[in-house]
Amino acid sequence: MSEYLLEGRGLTRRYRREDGRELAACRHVSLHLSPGETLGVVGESGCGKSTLLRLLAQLERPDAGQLFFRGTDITGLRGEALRRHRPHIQLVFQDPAAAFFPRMRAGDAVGEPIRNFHRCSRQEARERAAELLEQVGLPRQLGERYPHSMSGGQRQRVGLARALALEPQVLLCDEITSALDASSQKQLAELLAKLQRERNLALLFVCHDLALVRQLAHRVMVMYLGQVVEVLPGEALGTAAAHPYTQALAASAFSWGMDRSKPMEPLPGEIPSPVDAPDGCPFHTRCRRCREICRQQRPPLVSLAPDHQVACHLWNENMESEDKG
Amino acid sequence: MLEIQHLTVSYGGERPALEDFSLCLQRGEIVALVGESGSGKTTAVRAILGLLPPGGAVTGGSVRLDGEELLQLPPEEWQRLRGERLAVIFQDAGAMLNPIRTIGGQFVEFIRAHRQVSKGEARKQGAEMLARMGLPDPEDILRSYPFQLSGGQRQRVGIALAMTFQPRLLLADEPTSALDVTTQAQIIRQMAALREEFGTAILLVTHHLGVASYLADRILVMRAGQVVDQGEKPDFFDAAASPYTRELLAAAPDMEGERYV
Repeated sequence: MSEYLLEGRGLTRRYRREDGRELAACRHVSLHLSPGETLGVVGESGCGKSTLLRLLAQLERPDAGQLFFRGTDITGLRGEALRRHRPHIQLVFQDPAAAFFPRMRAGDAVGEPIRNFHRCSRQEARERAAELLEQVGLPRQLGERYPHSMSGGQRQRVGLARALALEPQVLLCDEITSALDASSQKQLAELLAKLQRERNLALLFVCHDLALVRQLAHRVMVMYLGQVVEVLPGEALGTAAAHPYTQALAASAFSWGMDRSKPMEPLPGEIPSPVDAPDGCPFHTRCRRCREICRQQRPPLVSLAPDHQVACHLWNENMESEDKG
Repeated sequence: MLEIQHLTVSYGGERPALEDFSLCLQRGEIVALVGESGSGKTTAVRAILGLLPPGGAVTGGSVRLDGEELLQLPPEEWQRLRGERLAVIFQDAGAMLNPIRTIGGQFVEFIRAHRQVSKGEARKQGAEMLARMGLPDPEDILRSYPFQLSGGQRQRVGIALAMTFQPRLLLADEPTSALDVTTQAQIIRQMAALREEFGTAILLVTHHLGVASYLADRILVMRAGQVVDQGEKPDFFDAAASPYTRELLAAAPDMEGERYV
């Protein structure tokens, strides 16, 4: 029995391309999420974070691996059973302008899932939608407006209200702050933290902004080429990252408070294509500390501390200790 | 070198999109315009380039490059100027590249529009520029179409094109906003190298305060079409910064700042 709210074990998703070659978007990803906890997921384009979200939201089925909700295997749910399960796990998208039907009023968009899942009148759904809008810090009257007449920050809150309509226990957030200005970003981040406290929500927060993830996440999972390379506490992101890739990400993040006199040494090269994913460690083609073993063997995820795991040969017990940095 | 005085741009609305905007840029200087969406920073860049969208018009002020007034320049003069003395890179260089022509073809067309050289010579120049921008295997890039390149590669091709004639002024409108953080770091470093190598002055438009503070010598904060604050290296803004600037700084997430959880 799993004690976690949501748990994925060895989730793997491959796509077959037209030319017959295989693209591994997600490889053996394991993760867990408890009530009231935020797991941040960071990584660059093509690292598999969006595929992972689709697997967790059960919009796609994994080729291998299992998904558990409150200890029950939900990997194979289909039809009505899957539909009845959906309210527990909800998704908020990056671009709410694209996620809403442009000719539906905000209030109806928020009320729609309620009418789909509960027998209630249009009036009741409207009333509930207005309450939800208030809970995400919007005026009730905003329900009368259409998406195009709102600011990006307002639309994103409406998206949040809609996702909360079925009182989910897990909220999956896909780059929901990326399209916003810094001040709207900050407001949305504060709102998420507040909603989490009030509802004991489990949040999966996918975001490429390391500084923002550090502010919001209890734990952070770092992905590269479809694989988990490190899991660490949020506050350790800037100070105790163990994987060379996480260190490079942290060193590449520009922030106001950074040491501007320090020379910046950006990672060389580009992420390899997931179609021709290299053997061995996924990161070895760009790693400054790459050694022979890194080209041949995939490093296992090992624990450095109870809440800190890393997949890197530098941290394997067999390696000489002076190599650790 | 670049001298902008009291520049005002209006789109016909009640308030101008850019109001009384003044800025001087020296050779090799990097100035950042920061602000949130709708603050007028992109309008400023477009006005300097003479590329305001339909409906937009300069209603006052002057823009001088090396003493020459740009606002009354005839279109054919603009064509000579853009690309040779001032160049621009946008948020998505992919969008300004021609999708159905190879990178090599675009280099040849661009260079031959300004210089009388053979196609082979132009192509060779293109390869040299790509190599200087740190793109491995320039010949391979020249043979590629834009869609075959990654976002970071396209952005570097855009910078290579823009820098071909070593313009004195580079306007960069959100050049790294669409890129991943490690690619962003590569491009930012490249822009710093341009200044070192060519003495290029750069006007950087960005909403990212961290990027601005890393690259720029001077930062101008814009809001609703006006410059509300400006500051210089190393501290940029002291305690006397305007309330809006302090608000912006407080909103920017920081690797050392407070956490919500």
